[in-house]
Amino acid sequence: MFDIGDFRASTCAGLTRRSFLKIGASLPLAWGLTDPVRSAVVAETPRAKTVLLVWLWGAPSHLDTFDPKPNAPAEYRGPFSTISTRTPGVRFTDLLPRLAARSDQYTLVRSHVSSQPGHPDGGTVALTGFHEKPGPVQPNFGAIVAKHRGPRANLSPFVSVGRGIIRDSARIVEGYGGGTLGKAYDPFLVNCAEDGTVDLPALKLLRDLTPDRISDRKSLLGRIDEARRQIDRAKIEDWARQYQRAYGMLTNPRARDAFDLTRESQATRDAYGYTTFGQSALMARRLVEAQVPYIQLNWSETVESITPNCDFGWDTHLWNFELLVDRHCPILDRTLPVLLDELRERGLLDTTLVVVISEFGRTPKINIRAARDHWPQCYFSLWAGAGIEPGRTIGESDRLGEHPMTKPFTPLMVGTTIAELAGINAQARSEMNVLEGGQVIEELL
Amino acid sequence: MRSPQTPIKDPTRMLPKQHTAIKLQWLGLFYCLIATCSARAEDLVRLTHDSLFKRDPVFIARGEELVYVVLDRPEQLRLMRLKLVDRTVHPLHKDEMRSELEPAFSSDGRYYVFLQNRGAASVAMVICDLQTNEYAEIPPAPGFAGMRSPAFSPDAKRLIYSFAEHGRQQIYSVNTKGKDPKTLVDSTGINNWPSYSPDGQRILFGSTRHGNFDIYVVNRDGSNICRVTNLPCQDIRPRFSPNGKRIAFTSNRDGNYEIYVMNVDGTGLFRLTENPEKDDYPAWHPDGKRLVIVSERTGRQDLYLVQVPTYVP
Repeated sequence: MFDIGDFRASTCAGLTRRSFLKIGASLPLAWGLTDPVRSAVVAETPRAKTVLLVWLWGAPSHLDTFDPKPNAPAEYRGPFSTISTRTPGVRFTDLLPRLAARSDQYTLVRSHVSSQPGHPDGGTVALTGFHEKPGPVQPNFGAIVAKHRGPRANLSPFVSVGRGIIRDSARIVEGYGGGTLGKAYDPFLVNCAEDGTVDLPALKLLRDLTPDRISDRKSLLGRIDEARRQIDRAKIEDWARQYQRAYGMLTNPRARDAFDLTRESQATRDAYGYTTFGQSALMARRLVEAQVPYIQLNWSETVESITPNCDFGWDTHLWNFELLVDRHCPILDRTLPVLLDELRERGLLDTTLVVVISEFGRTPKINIRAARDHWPQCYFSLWAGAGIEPGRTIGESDRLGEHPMTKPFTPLMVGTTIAELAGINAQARSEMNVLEGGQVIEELL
Repeated sequence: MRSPQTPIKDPTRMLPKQHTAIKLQWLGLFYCLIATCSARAEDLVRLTHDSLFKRDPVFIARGEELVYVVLDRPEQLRLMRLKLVDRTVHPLHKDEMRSELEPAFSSDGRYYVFLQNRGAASVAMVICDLQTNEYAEIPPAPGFAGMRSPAFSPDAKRLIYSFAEHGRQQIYSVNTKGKDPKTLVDSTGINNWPSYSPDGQRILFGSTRHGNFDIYVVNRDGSNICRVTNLPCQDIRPRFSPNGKRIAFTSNRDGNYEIYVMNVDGTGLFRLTENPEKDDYPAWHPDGKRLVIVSERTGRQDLYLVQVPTYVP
């Protein structure tokens, strides 16, 4: 079911329907753009037709999940026991039994490092490869893939699934979108509620509009005059771009279907679990099937775990160990295995790159509140599909989980590897002026 | 109900077990107990149907009502009150917009306490006196801080809770005005989920002092600590039965979270639930014959009543 609600614009711009349409038509829309760079770069068939980045926003503890240190002193190791996995010699904590039982389906990297210990900046570094300052902000990896792949017939090439633009309680993450490539390459936002209700923020202007009604152009145009009275002129271009994307999608039956979770069997919806992350993951799988080039599946909108108006991210400065038991790990360990299973069973994993990652890890040494703080010096990621040999562990952290003992992998290397697997080679990256200086994580390939 | 010969369907249960030696020793008895004691699906009574994330149920009003916590919005944990007779549900604090959790009620019905999220990783403890309509609170300490798991003494004169500082999480008590703090349990690691025995003489809690979460009992003055469980897994949220003879708790010892019941000395252990999804947050009905639990079934989290067998080996 779609829920197309209200748009929260405030002032009246006095635009007419015709002028709105004119503005919309004149925009350099991502879909309709004839991109000289893209035309110049004839990509080989990419190993990853689709990239699905699972964004564990807030930064899970690596020691309490995929890189436990059972022999570390008590003030480091935490309370969790370890369990064996399908990968010989590799153990996870006992919070992740289903993911442990599927370790032969993905490769674990345990030697990531970042350079930014704060969340919004750290998010930008992790999602673009570069710091926010000094600007300009570089494009999200998804925007790079979107620009390279160019216009899509039905669906936006970069879709962000979750609950809106990722943020902390103070501000959004600057690296969420198009950056230097322009707002035309911002992600198309798809919000999923825990019951599977889907909300497309770009269409919030259009009150009470259903997918069936939106296919009727007259009905749509009849609402434009109302729309123009609500929208701030300064925002009109951005809104019109997003709106046209949404309109294009929802007037196309195939695209419209992609957003409709009610088309899934009850058993499938049950399997993912009725959480925002669970139903968002199911949406992500449908978008993979619809061949969207880049999907970012967000764990939460905000990083904070126990903070007013925040939706329980992985930022567990307080109650880290209890929250991982109570909520975070049970949800992750339910949903992610189902997502991987479904991609494999449907034959999608060979051409889909799945990357599970966050902005950093958490302090190996337990803090004064018996929890864990930010730790960019060492963290983990999971990689599956797109021909990456599964069942391996790449990189190793030291005995306390404080630093990599082996070659460290930076966010820029993550982005470069994603780009490479998505068919954006060094020449294409150079011509797009993105991911400058980035190196591929050869060990993964 | 699963017999020992029934194939295990849950993939998590196919994981290699770490503690084979310990488990083999008890395997025969354990499966016999499962066959005897595990709750079948038809033994469960579903109390809620909204499928939302839930936690912390407690019985009030002589077992005729429940208060629990639901993720009402993605950003808010809300206290809800459910009447068992007609299953009607209402918010306990109608207009509250902050997250509230871990409610506890005094046995005389005069007081209740809960945690309230005040800021970034900052949680206060609020104690309400329903007789005077006054409330006391322990405000959050500076920075990231918050109390956990409050519970009243049987005489309703004090309450216990856990609080983390200096890298450890200890158990304290205060009076119903939130004053006169005393340290009851102090050790390395995390001590949590404290509750008094019905006679008020002992305190039951979970602790990581020896590594993972295990269950311990200590005298009310903090002396004579006894370890009740001892397996390298997570034994959490222990609760005394109303007669003080049994303990219900959650454990992942068999691969996922299930509800277990045992005698106070650790004997007579049996698994009450048999569910490939998560069962958690056991809370005794005052009659001592039933528990309310939060059970995840087909991806939906709801409250269920489950009968507790009276048989104790």
